[in-house]
Amino acid sequence: MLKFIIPTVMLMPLTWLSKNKFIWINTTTHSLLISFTSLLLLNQFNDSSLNYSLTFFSDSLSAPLLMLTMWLLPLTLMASQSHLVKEPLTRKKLYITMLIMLQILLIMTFTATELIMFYITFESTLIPTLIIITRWGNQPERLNAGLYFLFYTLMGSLPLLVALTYLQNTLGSLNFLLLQYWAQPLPISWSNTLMWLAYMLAFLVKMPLYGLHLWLPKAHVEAPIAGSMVLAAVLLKLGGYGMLRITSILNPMTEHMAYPFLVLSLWGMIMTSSICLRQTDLKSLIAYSSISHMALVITATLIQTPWSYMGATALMIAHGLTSSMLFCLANSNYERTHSRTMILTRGLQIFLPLMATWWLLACLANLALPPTINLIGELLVITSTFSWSNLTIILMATNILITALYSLYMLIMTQRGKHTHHINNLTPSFTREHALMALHIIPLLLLSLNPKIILGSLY
Amino acid sequence: MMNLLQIVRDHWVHILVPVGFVVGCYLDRKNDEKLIAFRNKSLLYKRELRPSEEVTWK
Amino acid sequence: MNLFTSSTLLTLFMLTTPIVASSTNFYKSNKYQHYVKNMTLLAFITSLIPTTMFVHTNQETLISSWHWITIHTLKLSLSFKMDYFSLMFMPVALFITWSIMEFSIWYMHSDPNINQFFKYLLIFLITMLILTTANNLFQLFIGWEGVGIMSFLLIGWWFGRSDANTAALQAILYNRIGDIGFLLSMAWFLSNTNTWDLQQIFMLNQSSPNIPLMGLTLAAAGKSAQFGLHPWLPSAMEGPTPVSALLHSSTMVVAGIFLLIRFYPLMENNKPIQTMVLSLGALTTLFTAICALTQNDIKKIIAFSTSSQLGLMMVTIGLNQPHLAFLHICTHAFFKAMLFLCSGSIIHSLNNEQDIRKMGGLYKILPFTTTALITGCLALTGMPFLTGFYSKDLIIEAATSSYTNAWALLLTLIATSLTAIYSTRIIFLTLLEQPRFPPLVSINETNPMLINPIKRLLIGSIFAGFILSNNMPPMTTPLMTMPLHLKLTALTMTILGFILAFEINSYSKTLKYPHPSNATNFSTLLGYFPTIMHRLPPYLVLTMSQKLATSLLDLTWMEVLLPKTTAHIQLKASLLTSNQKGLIKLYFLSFLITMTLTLVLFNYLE
Repeated sequence: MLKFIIPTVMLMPLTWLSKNKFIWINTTTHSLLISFTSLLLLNQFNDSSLNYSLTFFSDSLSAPLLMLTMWLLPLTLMASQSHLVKEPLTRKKLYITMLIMLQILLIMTFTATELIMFYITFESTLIPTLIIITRWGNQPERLNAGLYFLFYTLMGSLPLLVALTYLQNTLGSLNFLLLQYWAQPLPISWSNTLMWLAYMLAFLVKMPLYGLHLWLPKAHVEAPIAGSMVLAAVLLKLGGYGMLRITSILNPMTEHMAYPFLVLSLWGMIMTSSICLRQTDLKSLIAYSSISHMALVITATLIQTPWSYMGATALMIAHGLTSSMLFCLANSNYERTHSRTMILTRGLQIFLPLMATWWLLACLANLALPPTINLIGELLVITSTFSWSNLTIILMATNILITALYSLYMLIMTQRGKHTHHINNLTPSFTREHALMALHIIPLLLLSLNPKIILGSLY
Repeated sequence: MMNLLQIVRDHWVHILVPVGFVVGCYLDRKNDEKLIAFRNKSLLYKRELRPSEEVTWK
Repeated sequence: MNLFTSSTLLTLFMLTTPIVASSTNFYKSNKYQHYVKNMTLLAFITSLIPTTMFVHTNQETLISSWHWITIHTLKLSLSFKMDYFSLMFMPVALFITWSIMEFSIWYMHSDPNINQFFKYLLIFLITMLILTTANNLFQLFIGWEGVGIMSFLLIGWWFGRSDANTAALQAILYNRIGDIGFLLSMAWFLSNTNTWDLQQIFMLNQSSPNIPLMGLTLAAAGKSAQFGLHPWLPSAMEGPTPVSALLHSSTMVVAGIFLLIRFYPLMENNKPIQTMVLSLGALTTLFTAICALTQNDIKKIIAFSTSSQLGLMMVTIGLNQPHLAFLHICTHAFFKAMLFLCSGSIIHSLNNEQDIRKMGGLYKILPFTTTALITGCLALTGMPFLTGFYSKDLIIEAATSSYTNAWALLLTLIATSLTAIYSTRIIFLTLLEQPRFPPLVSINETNPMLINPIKRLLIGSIFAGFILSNNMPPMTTPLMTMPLHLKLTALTMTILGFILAFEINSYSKTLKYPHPSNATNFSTLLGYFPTIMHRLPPYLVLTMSQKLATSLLDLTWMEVLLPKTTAHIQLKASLLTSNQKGLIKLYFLSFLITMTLTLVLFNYLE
């Protein structure tokens, strides 16, 4: 795993030592190269896991997420260029450094072998994200958003630390690979209920579960583009990843405890997607749509069947690419109209036709058009929840309906309709932006040719 | 010659990441060997040593 | 190795070449549209090979080529089914699309994005062919959703108009409601039979379960605009006329019926579902025929007639005659496409006027279109020995001689009669009598791009039924004998409709137009359905999402419960525990007192 971490670390001196005009191109190129080396992870010759060292390992569950993480860094760099164009050089470098640091920490989180190492890196991803949000956000509300972001996630994850300490004391090891063999069954009792909550709450907040999600729209709306992208694409997936990992030691308690959370996430899925129907703020809409998609992942994880795990993993990757792309598109509108209000960009299709194509593709991916991987994920989740309880199909189907509605509402609001006069003198779209969108959509389309590699562990 | 020097001075930073990758690969491999050495020690995974081959875990 | 599979695949492959070509510079030239059209023609000719072979030898094939994914025991691969339905449907769809494309070259010639339009039409066709040839549910779903999305793009083609956008969104919304059913049955088949391959599903479900079939019926009702989910179909007339023609003839709307036909091995043993389908179809065919009676937009009348015919097909499926329903799909496609092309010609000639009250007397200036329109209307009503007769007559015969739900059959018969009435209405108001349009100079129907496709479809509307019904291998035993009155029912109903329409028409000329009655209002306002369903539920849902989801829960309760409470407690606690209260006056006073005291004390020490 060091072959990914050390080059990423070396990106930092690269940023600071590069000639001034080369900082963007150098970092982008090299991070793209690093993301290409991550393709090595696809070679999962051992079925269960690849043990790289005692500290880091990766298996078929973490490999797609790792690849997504590494793929996102060059994209965030490309997306942030015009956001930072007026900043002094040192701050640009600082910003890039923050993104790189986030990437290092994320790689370490996804590959950590020890639970406590996972916990530490999981928590420390908050720091660069917080700095990015509160330092480079656009409005004064960013401070409030940072506060919400920090405290929600911190409060959620502190109990996990206690639980992990307890686990270390009782089992003597926090190694993921050993844990699934050593874990004692968690019989149903009051103290174990609290135990379960302590284990899961951190991830449920991070996902976020409906009810604990307030930080997410705020953080997304206020964050600069790179922050939104990373947050939607990777940071939310930390929660899903953690849940998929930790549920293996929580049996049989999960079956018992899952109900309230299942109810909450199924209900929240409908609620958040119907919130999307009334949003006027583009970024907020995308943020709420993230919550509703992540609710599917929570549901899939909690019902614990192999099919649902596959669905959850596929949905996480698909949503990572899609929502990140939507944020990029929203940002490209924002950079032109300086507003997140959707109606102000009405009729943009006339002016930026290629951009309209990207919008269309992103919206179609968001509403899970076959044969995209979004559909594969959703289909697996729907099938497994259907076989868990037939009645869930009503909620799932309602959600699918509303998802299609708000995705196309977003498309129609921003691209279709009669154009307004103030957009007559827009800057045309840059090649950089088109490249950015293409780099999002190409993996999405290619993965639908071979979805097996993002289905996690197929057993 | 000066031109070359200038290019090197401008673009030497490009060496950083590849070096990082090489170092990373090296360290990974070393670690793998360490783990394999351990594996040779275990009863479950050990293999027959060739004649004149030393045990790796000494 | 015979040509069977290879020429079918060649057909599909040929259609994809223009899409690949669209990424080259050729896409920018104005030859691209002709290229697309010619490719469709070539594909049509190629597709005749397997169809002829099928007609000749009656062999069915299934190919399963590219292995896509294996999850546990579920294997998914790219799999094509070349059977009765797909092989018969393919040349029909290609022929009609070819004609429509040629027509579009004329109709859309002033559109700056005409090449894109052609590409969309082509993708629309391809998705439909994927749907018909698919052998597993996932592939079917790709075609199913692809058709939906392409209809969204095509209906909303004139995206500057808010009506077009609304109609497009409406189409997607109603289709998505249908998709719920599709997903339900997909989930059911997967969790109960562990397969999505059609032949395995048919083999494993001998008991014909209710849940997935209900799902499929819902899916078909959404896609084929059956009662309850019908309003999107007339709204879809906001799209360009060639789109309406394609949408209503050989793609999209028949997909739902086609799905049920595909699943007939399961349906044929399930009586409750059949009754449901029968009643749904009967209700649709009557309701939409009533709606068609008083519409004034020529395209809307034809749209409602499509809806009515779809209801008839649904009825046929409910009668357990899937092959007959399929024949009706094929024959209906010819004259429906032609009717739309004729209306396109009229609309174009009258400078985008769609209101039939402002037409009239067109038989003198558009003689060819008039011929075609009248033939199309007659074929639609099932006039003997035109195309519609061969399927419609059989359907009515099958209905009258079956034992099922008599009310449903009665509704169907009334709807058949109404078909004749609204067809007559179109003919009278647009073609005959005095002209009611402003004098124009643009009336012209000499362009071969306009004449040829209509001519081709005209020949199709006259002979296709004969050819098709003579060449299709019979799958069900047709009724050999029946009493004369049953045999003549269909014809009688139609003629009754004609007579009624003539009579009413002469009334409307001689008598004063009365105040619109309740019945008229019902029909004009589409049975008050859109008024209610397009206002109340959206209002409720949107109010709920604004007031409950956003304002009450998200912005109020959740804020209050966690962050605000925490902040409040923190604030109170820190106030309570800290000494510093910010009482500046008091602090300064005490400071002053201390200072004065010190000064005084120090002074007095001396």
